[in-house]
Amino acid sequence: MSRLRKSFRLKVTLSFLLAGMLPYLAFSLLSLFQVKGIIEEDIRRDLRTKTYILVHEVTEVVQSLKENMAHWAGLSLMNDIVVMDIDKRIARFLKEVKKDLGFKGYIIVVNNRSLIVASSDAELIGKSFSLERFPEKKFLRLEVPVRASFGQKQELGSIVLLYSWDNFANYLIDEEVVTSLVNPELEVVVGSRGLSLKSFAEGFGSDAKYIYYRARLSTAPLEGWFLVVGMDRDRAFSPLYSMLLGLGSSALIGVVAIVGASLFVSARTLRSVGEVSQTANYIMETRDYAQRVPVHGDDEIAHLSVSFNSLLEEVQRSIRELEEESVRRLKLFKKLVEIITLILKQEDEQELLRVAEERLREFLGADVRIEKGAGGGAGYEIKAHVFLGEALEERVVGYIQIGESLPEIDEFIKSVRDMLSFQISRLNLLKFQSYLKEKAESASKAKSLFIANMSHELRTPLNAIIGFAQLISSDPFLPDDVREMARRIEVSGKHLLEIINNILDLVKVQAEKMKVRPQRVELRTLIEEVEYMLLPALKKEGLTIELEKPSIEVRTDPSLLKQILLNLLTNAVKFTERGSVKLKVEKRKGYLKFRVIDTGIGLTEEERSRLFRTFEQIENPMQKLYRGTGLGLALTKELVGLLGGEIGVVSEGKGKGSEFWFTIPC
Amino acid sequence: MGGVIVALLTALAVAVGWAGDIVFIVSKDSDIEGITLSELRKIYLREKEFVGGQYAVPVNLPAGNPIRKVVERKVLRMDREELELYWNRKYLDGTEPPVVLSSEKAVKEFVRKVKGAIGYVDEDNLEEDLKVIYRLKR
Repeated sequence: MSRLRKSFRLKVTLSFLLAGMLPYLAFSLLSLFQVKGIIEEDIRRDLRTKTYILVHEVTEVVQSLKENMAHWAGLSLMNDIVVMDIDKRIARFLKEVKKDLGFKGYIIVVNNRSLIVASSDAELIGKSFSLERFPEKKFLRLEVPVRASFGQKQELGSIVLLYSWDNFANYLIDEEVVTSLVNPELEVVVGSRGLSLKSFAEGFGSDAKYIYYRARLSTAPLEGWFLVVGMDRDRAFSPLYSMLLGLGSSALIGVVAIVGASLFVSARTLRSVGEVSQTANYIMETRDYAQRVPVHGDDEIAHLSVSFNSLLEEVQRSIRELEEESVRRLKLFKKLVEIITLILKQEDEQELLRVAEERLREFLGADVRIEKGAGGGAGYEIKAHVFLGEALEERVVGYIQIGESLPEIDEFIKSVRDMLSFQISRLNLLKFQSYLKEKAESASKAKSLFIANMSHELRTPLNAIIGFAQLISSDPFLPDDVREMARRIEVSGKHLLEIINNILDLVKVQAEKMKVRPQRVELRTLIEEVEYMLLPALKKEGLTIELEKPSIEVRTDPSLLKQILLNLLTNAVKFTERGSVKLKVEKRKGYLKFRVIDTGIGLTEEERSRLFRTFEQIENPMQKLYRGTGLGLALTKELVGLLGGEIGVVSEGKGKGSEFWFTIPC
Repeated sequence: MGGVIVALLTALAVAVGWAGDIVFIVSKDSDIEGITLSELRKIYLREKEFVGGQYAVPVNLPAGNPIRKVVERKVLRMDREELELYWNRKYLDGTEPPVVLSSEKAVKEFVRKVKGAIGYVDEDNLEEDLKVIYRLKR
């Protein structure tokens, strides 16, 4: 629909139609109305005329009958009424007359005593005359008195003519018009039926089918009768219909002619426009800008085609230029990428500059050089961070010099220059990094070695101190206070030894001296050994220990696993006054999970986060009660890490116990 | 001359089968008792309308009737031609000829019904309720 609305042809056609048909329709309507008025006037005149003619005819008929009767009444043979028409002279006469007149009805002669003396129809003779016998509805009754032709001309009786109403049908016509003789009071209709008997009045009227005129008859004895002449509406207005048909068909011809003409004109006009738009569509689909629109004639539409072709020419030229330009740029870009890739591959600064110079020369021409050093050159300055023994420093490392600088390659050279700066800086940064790393690693290794050596140095005299203190404390001959002092030396020494052992282990791990030696391990056996080793520490009152010992074979380093379990269990026992310490082992998919659950003092969240750090121990009022370096958990974490597992802690809070867990792969 | 005529008429009457005289009749209860030939002639020619105070209505038989012919000849003493001339003249004055009835029977009926009516029939057809006021010999 909207496409139709947009159609130029439709617009042209509609305009032509509107301009052509509106006046025609107006004229047609006016003519139709006028013709209708004329026809109506004609019909009325016609109807009235016909009616009057018929009224005249009917009246004439009756008049002529009356005259005839007057004549009969004057005949001398009517004297026979006196002798009851004894010789049937009157009867013969009447029969003859009726035959001559040829109508439907009766002529009778009645004497003064209402006895039918003679009649045109023999069967009536001798009967008494009454109106019931000849109802008004059926007969027009005309009566003429008969006087004697002798004497004082006294009345002998009368001639009565009973004239059937049907006779009038002969005078009524039923061709162009329908006519009837109607007596609405008697409800008698002669002639055409179908005319309503209701509301009868003189004048024009119409119903569904007819237009009619009604005239009241005024001459005796026809008072009360109407003559109706009606005309079939369709028939009456048939000239109007044929005129309508004529107008309609000529309108149709007009429409066809207008549509045809406007389509022809718009098709001619639109051909060029269509070609322009077709060409445009073709070009949009195929990108073939070489296409041109054919030019017809030299009118405004032709100018459109010419202008369109010029536009195409211009577009084609611009596109060609754009294509050439982009090819050139693509080449430059490819080269740039090539050079950048090459630059990034170079690991040596001097080699880098040499290769870059070579490639640039190859691509841009012989007059490209890269001058090294900061010594005041001209051209594109290459700045980079350079590693100078101890630190990085930004300085000019060289210049790209070019014979003739073109604006198109300016950006290209700048990109290459920036890339050179970047790569040189990167190489120097790498140098600086490795210098820093080397420096840091050597310091760390030295520290570890030192501590490891120191631990050995510390352990040897400490063993001697502990050994001698044990000796002294177990000598029964020495005084008790001395033995007590020796015992304290022994305990403190053992504690110190423990610390030193831990430090040693930790350092070993950090100095990467600890070696992992995996082998098949029976978990039950391993845990039984741990339990055995724990026995001295477990002799604490009010504390129960439950260790789960599943029969699982696992491939791991048994000594490290044993040490982890020992550390965690010892720790748990240390921090649990009463209650229980449990070890649970769960086999999960791909790893074993060990959980050490105690009912000890527990941990706050803050404490949990600091745990496992080197030299960290829970700070609390009971610190003195629980001795420790805090190294144990840090070491344990390192060991778990060596076995390829993870460690963590869960606690409900302070005083609610804690659960340490770790995993090892299996 | 008269004898000859009577003889001839008698012969004729015998020849056609009529034997009797012609009688002029009125209703039995009519006031008219008798009439002269001259009176009768005047009445039939409509020259005289009243007979003894009574309006007279003469009745004829149809034109070709033999009895009527005798009456015309003997009473009116005119032939066809003379009568036509006479009545044409009379008609212009507004006087109509006598009522014509088609048969003796009708005449008798008419005379019975109409007061003052005078008709004529063959004597043989005479009926009791009729009064003869003149007898015409054949």
